[in-house]
Amino acid sequence: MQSFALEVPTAGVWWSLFDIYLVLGVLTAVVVFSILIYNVWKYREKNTSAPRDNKDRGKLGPVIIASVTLFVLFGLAYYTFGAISYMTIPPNQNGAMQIKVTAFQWGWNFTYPNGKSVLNELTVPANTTIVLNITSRDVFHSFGIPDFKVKADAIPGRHNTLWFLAPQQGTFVIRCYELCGVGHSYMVGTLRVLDKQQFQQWYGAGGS
Amino acid sequence: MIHPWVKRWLTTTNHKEIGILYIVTSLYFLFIGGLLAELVRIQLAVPENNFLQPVYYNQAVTMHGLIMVLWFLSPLGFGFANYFVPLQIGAKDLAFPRLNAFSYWLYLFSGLVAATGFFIPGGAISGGWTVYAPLSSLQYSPGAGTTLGAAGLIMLTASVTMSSVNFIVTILYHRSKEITFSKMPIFTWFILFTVIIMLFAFPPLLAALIMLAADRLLGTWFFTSAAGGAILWDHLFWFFGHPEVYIVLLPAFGAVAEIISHYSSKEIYAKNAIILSLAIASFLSLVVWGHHMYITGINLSEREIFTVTTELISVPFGVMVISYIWTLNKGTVRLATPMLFALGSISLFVIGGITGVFNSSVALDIGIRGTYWVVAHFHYVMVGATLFGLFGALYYWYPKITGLEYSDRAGKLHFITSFIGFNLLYFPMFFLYDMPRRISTYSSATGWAPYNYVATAGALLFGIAQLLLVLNLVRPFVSFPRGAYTLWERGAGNIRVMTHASNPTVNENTESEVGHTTPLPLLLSFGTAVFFLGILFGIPAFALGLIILIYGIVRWFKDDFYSRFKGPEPGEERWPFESISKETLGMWVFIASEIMLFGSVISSYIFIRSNFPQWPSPAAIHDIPLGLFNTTVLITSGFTMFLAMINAREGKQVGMLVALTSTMLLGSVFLSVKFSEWYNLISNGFTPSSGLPGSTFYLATGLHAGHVIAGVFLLGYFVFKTLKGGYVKERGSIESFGIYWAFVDAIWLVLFPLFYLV
Repeated sequence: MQSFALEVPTAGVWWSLFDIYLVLGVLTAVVVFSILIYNVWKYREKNTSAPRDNKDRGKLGPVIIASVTLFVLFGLAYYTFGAISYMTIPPNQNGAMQIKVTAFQWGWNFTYPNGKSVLNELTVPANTTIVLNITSRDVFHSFGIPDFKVKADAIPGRHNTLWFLAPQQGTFVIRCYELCGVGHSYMVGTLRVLDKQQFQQWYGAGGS
Repeated sequence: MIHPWVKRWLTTTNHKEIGILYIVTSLYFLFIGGLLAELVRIQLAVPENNFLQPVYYNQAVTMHGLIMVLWFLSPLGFGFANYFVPLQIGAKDLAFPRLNAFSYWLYLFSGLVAATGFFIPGGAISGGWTVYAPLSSLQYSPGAGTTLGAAGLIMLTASVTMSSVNFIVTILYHRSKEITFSKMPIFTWFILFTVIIMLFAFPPLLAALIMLAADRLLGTWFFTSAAGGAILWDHLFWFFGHPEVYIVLLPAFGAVAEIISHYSSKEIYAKNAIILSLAIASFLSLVVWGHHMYITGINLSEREIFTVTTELISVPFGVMVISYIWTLNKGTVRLATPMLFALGSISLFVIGGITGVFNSSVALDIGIRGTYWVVAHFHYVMVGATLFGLFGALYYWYPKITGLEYSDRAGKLHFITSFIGFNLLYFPMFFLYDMPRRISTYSSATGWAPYNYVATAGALLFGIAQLLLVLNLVRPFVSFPRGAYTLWERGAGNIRVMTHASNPTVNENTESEVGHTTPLPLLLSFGTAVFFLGILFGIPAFALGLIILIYGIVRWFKDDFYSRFKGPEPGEERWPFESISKETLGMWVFIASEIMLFGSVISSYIFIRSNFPQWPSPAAIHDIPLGLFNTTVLITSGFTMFLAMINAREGKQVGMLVALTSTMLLGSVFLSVKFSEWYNLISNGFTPSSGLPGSTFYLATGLHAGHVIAGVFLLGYFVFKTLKGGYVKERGSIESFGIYWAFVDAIWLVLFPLFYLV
């Protein structure tokens, strides 16, 4: 899954960022747990040879911890800001295909520039920037394509956008990520990626 | 006749007994919330399961969240706070013992009112513990369960606000001579900051709940219109919701600090740095709510600011965790049951905290928002860090509270099974980073089944392990081993202030003293519950509730009039508040929460209006000269109240009487004008449900008028008491009321231009 994901621009950026966080996170956890286990073991009651005293040396330690944490966070924020501007601003705006998404209890309606309207199945051409303009007809939903690591809330009265680009043909799942009533679990759609020619055929024809 | 033992528990105002009531009640709610969690996990154990239909699943998941966060975790922490904060600071009781009992009973009944929803058609509240709009509206959740849930939460907010005021005044005003701020024990520090956050975080929730209730009962448009709607609810809810995480965590972390210090036989490492971190984290908790709204469409720079503030939170918590761990260094570490839970709490917090940094990233959030990754993360904080910490506290303080000793070996077994069960339950959820939260079922094609299966196995183990807790806590009462306190006393070199009498029932603060019991807190809370059950049973229940409430309030004032009930004397150490009275300090603290409440209502109005371009000009709706007249009346009443305070200070009874009466009359004139205004507007078709201008106007001015009404009644009582010569020496209540009245005036000076002029 991850090798495919790296070919999808949004998912690729997302996973690279995730890996940075994961490496630093695991590293931090290992260091903290080592300090914890070392101290519990070394200063256990039965270890009579361990040195003991009750002086408070709490002067420098907190300053060091705070500085190191701040330094790491600075780096993480830097990488995050790079990723978020990439994931927010669609590349190749002019050649992008704009599709309206209207969420409802419980499904998705996709409306294409030529007025074509399809229920629950989003068909798009490969290698084309797709910009979705997402809203809701009733309650709060959240539109997500997990394999592409894109997601935006579908809120009545508001329009949120997201973009993605599929490098190759395939079918992927679309899910609702906000509790929207008893049908929430079944609010599943399909993303169908066709090559450009197939897509034109489908798009030109009236029905789905 | 009621058995004396029962009567004692129903009427007590003693902080220790209230503490025990909190602990027992919260454990009861843990049992309910835990059962609901098990139902949820059984449903999710295998794909395409039919154990729990979605309509029930949504109720279970929603009530599980609400009960665990609001009716279990926080109240358990406050059970310990009730019991031990006064002991730690050398106070005889909380500053306002009756109010404390009232907080407890309101808390109990609030939970019962919310849970009543399970037994009615349509079921309990079911839109998730976040109660997102507009799913929570009457259109999409027609059953009364959501209204009952909101009513329960409103009662709980009242309870929490009283507790916050009570604890802040207690800690600032009732310390004994040797307890200066620098010597205050660390658990008390954590409680102090917890209640400060509570004071600021809960009023926005209250505002949101009042608007939700108005939407559902009166047909207003706050969360059903696009101008307010989902985003307005999000802002208000998460302004409360994020700090709430720290509100539940901090009491546990305070207890963990005490436990680690005790079982290492060492002072806590870098106490001042921990307290500074605590202060920074408390402040930051109020400015990070936007990270719950990254993908709602708020603009990019806002999202980046919230990323930074959220990431910064890991600095103070990093300092805290490392300081806790470094306390062990050069200590004598004994792995008794409480210590195991405390170390478990820290370890699980490390995982919960680090994964939280992932969530803070506005980019990573796009992937993990609304998935089981988030569920795993916050359970590592809320269950891992908080519940383990609080269980540690329970084992740590159990011998102190009961005078009994539990089996340390069984306690350790409880820890180990819980720790394994917990990690089996929640660690697999990190791998479910694509699985949406709160879905009641999933297809087998997703590949999520194995992780869910393990999680459910872990949930069953974790649940069964808690039977050991029950056994450990109950068995000592049955077998009653003598020679308690060995668990407590060993290595007690660092116990500073907890040297009060060993058996709480014969402590110097004993319940048998005359004037320390009152049935009124129970009665008033019961009346409130009956009143809110009017949502189900209509006018008779409303009326009955109202009668009980009025009777209770009159009795309360009678007790005050005859000085039947005496609160504890102030402590000797109360820097920097030596010169003001307890009531005045309490009123200032309360005003802080009131500012947040009105601030939320006013901000909501501005938010809605800025999203609604066709807002009608106020001149077309309101009678501005009449409004100006009424404003003048209220300002004048402010001056007369000021005169009353001056006369009270100088002991001039007649002047005070005249000034108080004038204030009361002016307040009544203000209200009469207000009511006639409303009457005319409603006759002209401008009603709460006629549109957003009506909804916002009636809510804001109605809330204000409610404050004026309460004020006029209090003034009536003061006049009565003055006539009977009740205020010869004492003037604290007149002064604190003066602050309240000035605040009510000031709010009107904000509301008037906002609604009448611009």
